[in-house]
Amino acid sequence: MNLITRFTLAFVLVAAVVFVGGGFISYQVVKKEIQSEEKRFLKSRYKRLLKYLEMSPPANGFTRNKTILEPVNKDISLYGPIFSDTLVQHEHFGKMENQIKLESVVEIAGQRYHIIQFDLIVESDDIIKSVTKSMLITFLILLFSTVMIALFISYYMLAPFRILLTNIQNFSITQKEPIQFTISKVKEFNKINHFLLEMTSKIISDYQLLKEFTENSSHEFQTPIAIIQGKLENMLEENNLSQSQMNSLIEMQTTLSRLSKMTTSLSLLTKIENHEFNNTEKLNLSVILRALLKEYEELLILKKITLSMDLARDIEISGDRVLVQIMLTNLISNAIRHNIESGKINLTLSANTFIIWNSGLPTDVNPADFFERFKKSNQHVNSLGLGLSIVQKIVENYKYCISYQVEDGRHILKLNF
Amino acid sequence: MVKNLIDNINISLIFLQSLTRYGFFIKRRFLDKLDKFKFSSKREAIFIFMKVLIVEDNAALTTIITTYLERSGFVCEQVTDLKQALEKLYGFSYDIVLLDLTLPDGDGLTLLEQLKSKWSATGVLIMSAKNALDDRLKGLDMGADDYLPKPFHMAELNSRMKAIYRRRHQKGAVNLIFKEIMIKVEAKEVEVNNIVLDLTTKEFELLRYFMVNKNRLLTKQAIAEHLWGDYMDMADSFDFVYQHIKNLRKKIKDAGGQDYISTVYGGGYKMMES
Repeated sequence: MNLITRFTLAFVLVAAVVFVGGGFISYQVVKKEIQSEEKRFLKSRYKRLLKYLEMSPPANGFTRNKTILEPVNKDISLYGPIFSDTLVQHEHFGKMENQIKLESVVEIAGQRYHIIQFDLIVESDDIIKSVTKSMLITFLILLFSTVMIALFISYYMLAPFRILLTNIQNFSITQKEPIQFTISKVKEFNKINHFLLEMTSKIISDYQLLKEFTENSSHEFQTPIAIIQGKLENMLEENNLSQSQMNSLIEMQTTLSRLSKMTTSLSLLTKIENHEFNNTEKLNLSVILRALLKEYEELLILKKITLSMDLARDIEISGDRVLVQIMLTNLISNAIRHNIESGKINLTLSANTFIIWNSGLPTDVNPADFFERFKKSNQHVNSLGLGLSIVQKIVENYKYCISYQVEDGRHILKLNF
Repeated sequence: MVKNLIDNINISLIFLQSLTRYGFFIKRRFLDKLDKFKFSSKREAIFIFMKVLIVEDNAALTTIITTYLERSGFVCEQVTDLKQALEKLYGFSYDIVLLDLTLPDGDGLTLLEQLKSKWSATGVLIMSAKNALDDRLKGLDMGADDYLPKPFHMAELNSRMKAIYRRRHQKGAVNLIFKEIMIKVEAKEVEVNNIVLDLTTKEFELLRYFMVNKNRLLTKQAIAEHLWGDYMDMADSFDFVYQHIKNLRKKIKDAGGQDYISTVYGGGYKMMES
C-alpha cells in the first residue's frame, strides 16, 4: 500500500466517523428545531382559539380542524397547556399517524373547557432519512474529491518523490555516479535531494577509498614480497652457505609465500564483501565441477584418495564464474587437504544441493566455527584457515546456505542453492 | 727519434691489424656458430643476443631480476616508467619486454597495446602484483605472451622468459640439450641416448624446468609452485616433488643416463654437470 492510498484511506475513515457523528448531531438539532417550531405553531393556534372562545364562548363542544373542544364540569381542575405525542387517525387515509398534541383545561366565562389540539409532526424517520441522505451525498462528494486530489498529488506533486525513490533504488555502490536529482519547487524535496546527494557522494568516496585500500594493500605488499623473495633466492645460490643458514633461508621463503597468499586471500574476502564480482551469468555447475576435478586427479592419486561421485547433469546456477569456481575449488581442496591416509571423498550434486564429504579425523572444534577466519584444527598448521571463510562469503553473497557436520569420521559440507 | 716513432706506429699498426683480425676471427666464429645453429638438426637454444627491457618502477626488484637474468645470458636494460620505455623501444630492439602493470605514469596495458601494434616481434611478459583474474585475462587477450603474478620465483621467471623466446624466435622447434638428455619441446618428448623416455606430463615439466634452470638451486617450493601453481597444499607438495624427482631419476638412469640432479640437503635440487 503506498503512502498516498494510506493517507486517503485514513482521511476517508476519519471523515466517515465524523459524518456519522455529524449526522447524529444534525438529526438532533433538526428534530429539536422542528419540535419547538411545532409547539410554537400549536401554541399560537391555541391562543387564537382562546381568543375566539372569549369572544363567543360556545355552549357545546366541537371537533373540527384538528381541534377538539368540549365543555367540562367545574370539578375538573385546570391545567395545561401540556404537549404530548399521540396517534391520530389520518383524516383521509385512515392510517394511524404520530402527531403532536396540546391538551389543557381552561375556564372561560365561568365555563370550563377541555381543549385538545393536535397537528402533524415531521416524523423522526423522515428526519433521519433526509439527514442521512444529505450526509451521504456530501460524503460521496468528499470521497470523490479526496480521491481526485490524492491522484493529483501522487501524480504531480509527488512526482519528484517517486523519481527520488527510483533513483535510490537504482543506486549501486559499485557505480561511481552519485544519485542524480531534478530540482523541485517543494522545499522539502530539495532538502532531501540535497541530503541524499551529499550522502551518496560520501558513500561512494568512502567505498572508493576502502576499495583502493584493499587493492593497494594486496598489490603493494606483493612487490616488497617479490623483492625479499628474489633476494633470498640470490642468497640461496651462493655456494658457501652452512646448513642452518640454508634452512633459515628456505623457511623464510615458505613463510613469505604464506604471507603473500594470506594477503591475496584477505583481499579476495574483502572484494567479495564489497560485491565486486558481479558478472552474473548462467553457469553449468556439472560441467564446472567435472573440469575442476580433472585438475585434482593427480593430487588424488598422489594422496591415495578414493573419489566417488554422483553428479546430476546440467545443473545450472547463476553467478559469477570466478566466484563459483573459487567456491568449488576451496571445497574440493579442503576435502583433499583435511583427508586421512587412503581416505575417501564423495560428491553429490542434485537439482539444488551439492554435498561433499570426506573421511577425516574427529575434531574438537565446533564444525560451524570452521567458517570463521583463521579457525582451523591444530593438526593443520600449514593451512591458512581462510578457505572456508571465503566459501562462506560467497555463499552469503548469493544467499545460498551451507552447513558443516562431522558424523562418524565423515566431514560433511552441504550446500543448498 | 724518428725511428722510435716509426717503430711505435708500426707496433700500433700491428696491434690494430691483429685486433681487426681477431675481430674478424670472432665474427667468423660467431657466423660459423650461427650457421651451425641454423642448419643443425639438434639445435640447442642459445641466448647470446637475447635483449630484455625491464619496465618496473621498483629499483630493488629490477636489480634482482637483472642480476638473475644476466647470469642466464640475458642482456637487460631497465626503465622505470612508460615514457622511458617508449624512448628505449624507439631506439633499440628488444626480444622481450618484462612489463609491470602499475607504473608511475600510467597503466602498463597501454604500453602493451603500443607494443602489439608497433613492435609485434617483441615478446611481452607481464609481471604484476595484481593477481586479479580480470587483469590476467585482459593482459593475455591483448596479446601478452605470459602473465606472472608477483611474487614469483626467479627460476620461474627464467623458465617462462626462455619459453617465450623459444616460441617467438625459434618457432618452438628448438631442442633443449643437457649432456645426453634432449628435450624435444614441441613434441614433448625426452630422449636419453636416443631412447625415448616414457614420462608423465608432470615429470616432463619437471625435467624441462631443471634443464632451463641448470646449475641453479631450485627449492622444493619453487618446483611445487611451477608444477601445481597455487592450489597445492605446501606440506603435501614437498612429498610429491620428492616422489616425482625420484621417478624421474629412475627413468633417466634406466635409459642409461647419468643422474645430474643433485640434492642440496635441506635446500632443494640442482641440475648440474657433476
